Amino acid sequence: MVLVNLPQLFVDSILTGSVLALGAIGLTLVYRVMKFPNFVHAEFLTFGAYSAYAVNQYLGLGLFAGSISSFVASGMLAVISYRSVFSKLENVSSSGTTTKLTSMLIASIGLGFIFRHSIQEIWGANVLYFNIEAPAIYEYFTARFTSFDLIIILSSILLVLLLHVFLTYTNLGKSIRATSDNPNLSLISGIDTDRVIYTVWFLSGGTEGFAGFLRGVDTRLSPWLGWNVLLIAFAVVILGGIGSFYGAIIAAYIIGFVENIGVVALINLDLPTSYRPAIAFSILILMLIFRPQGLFSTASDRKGG
Amino acid sequence: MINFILDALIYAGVFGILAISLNIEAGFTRLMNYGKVAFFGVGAYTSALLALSGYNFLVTLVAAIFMSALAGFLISLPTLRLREDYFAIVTVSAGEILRLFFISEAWLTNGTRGLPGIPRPLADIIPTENYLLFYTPVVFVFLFACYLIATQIVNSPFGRVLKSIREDEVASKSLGKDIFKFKTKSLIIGSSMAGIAGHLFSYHLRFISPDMFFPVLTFTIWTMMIIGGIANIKGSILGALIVQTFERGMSIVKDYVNLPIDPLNFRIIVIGFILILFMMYRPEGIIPEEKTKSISTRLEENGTAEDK
Repeated sequence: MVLVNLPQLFVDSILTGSVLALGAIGLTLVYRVMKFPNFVHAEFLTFGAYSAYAVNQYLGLGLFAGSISSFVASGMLAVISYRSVFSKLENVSSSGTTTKLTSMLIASIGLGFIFRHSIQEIWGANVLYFNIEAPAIYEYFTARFTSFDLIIILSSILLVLLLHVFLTYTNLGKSIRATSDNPNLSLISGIDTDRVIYTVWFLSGGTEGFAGFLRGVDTRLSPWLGWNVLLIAFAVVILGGIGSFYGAIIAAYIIGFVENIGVVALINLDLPTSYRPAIAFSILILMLIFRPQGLFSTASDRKGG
Repeated sequence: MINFILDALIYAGVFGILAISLNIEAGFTRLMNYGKVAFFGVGAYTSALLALSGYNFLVTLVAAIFMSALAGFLISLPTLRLREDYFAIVTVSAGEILRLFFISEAWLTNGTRGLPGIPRPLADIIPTENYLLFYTPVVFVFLFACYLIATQIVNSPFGRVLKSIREDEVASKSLGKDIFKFKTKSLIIGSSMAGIAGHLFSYHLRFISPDMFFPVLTFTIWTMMIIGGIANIKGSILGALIVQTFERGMSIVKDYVNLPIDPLNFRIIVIGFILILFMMYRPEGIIPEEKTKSISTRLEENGTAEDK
């Protein structure tokens, strides 16, 4: 029996949850407008991390410049994805065999392949690290954490707050929520829904890119960075109730805690810790059996559409 | 050279079976199975493990079909009542978890080192250098059997219910069809066929390891099905041939031409473009879906012919 270091478990869980929260929010934003789970989001995470790496490696700039470039670059990539692929598929008539949902799902996989393997072509398949100074290490009770951990947690919370303020108090934010709820009604109320959709894609891609950057700082960069986060982020999104912004945030921290507690459990049960991704997946399955509408969602989101 | 072609044909046959099985699920029932590789892997590992314990080709075949069908049944329980996008998310995760299982449970699967030395059937009768001449027809017999079974199924009353679920779930439910049961059966049929493919695959390679079962394999099968034609069984075989020809062509070309881009990346990027372009410009594929052939439709066609 390994002794459980509770303060450390707490810090690790918050850290996992912070990155997941951003990943899940990015998915949620687009899901609410487009009504499909977008597999390309994995590549927005990866691209964000690599663009920060590029700024860091080739321009010699630090983490702050990297964070900005990750947000902007992935946001732009998301807008390009929508413009070149997904906006075109919206007009494809649904024949008997394919619907809008299926064709978007399939195209999102295809686009993901293109991005992931272009990244792999440019930067290689091997893992990379940011070229930055070693962080300061703090100890608090029995928890050890670095200044990077603090930056990750705080910047994640800051970005979530900014998004919250933006969606709640600005006109554009209100238009986004209106368009998510009812695009046709918003259009006839005079909302420029095209502008709204582009903004959503930019914000969503940017948030994913930033999450990918944080993940890259926390661990390392690889072309599979985003894909590995994405599958867990999907579990988060379903746990929170697909399309629920605040549900996603709470669910991210729940999954963060369960995952880290699960890893301790795996060690104590003498099971390989490579099963870590399976923990979130088990929660996903349990949720689908007992509460498929998610923790914080209305029942109408479950089967409609 | 002849072995290279035979090897390619075996691959096309195995993947043809996989594309047919995916077509039953995704094409006819609209089950977005993003974890096809999991059921393929279950079949492959079941056959490999039993063959290494000394069981013969037929016993392992039955076991592979059974285990894959069981996997299909288990995954259907929590997911089939939900919308197709949930199903896609769960199956893609299931495929990844299964790969983790193959890697982690080294006592059973030998971990990342994989399982070598799977014995070939009738290896003492057929000379090794001509073995593929024997094995290629075997694979094609299975492919043909799967083709016949699949066409029978989709033209049967059962298959027409599957199509009705695809077209309009609510309407089908209002006619008293138990949608959940039909979807489960569709998934079980598709998974058993994937099990057959896995079985043939492990005997052909005589070695399997977890890194053969990456998610990209699932989407290669999707590409085959989409190119050939969604909800067209012949199309799936055509799609498998096209994608296999492309992949083999690439492997030859890269030896002679110095590509500016890594062949693996190039291959997957091309698959990505194919998926997107077909979805945009030809979602029905090269051979679109055919009308149901049944006694009643035949009578109707003959009837109109006589009226004229």
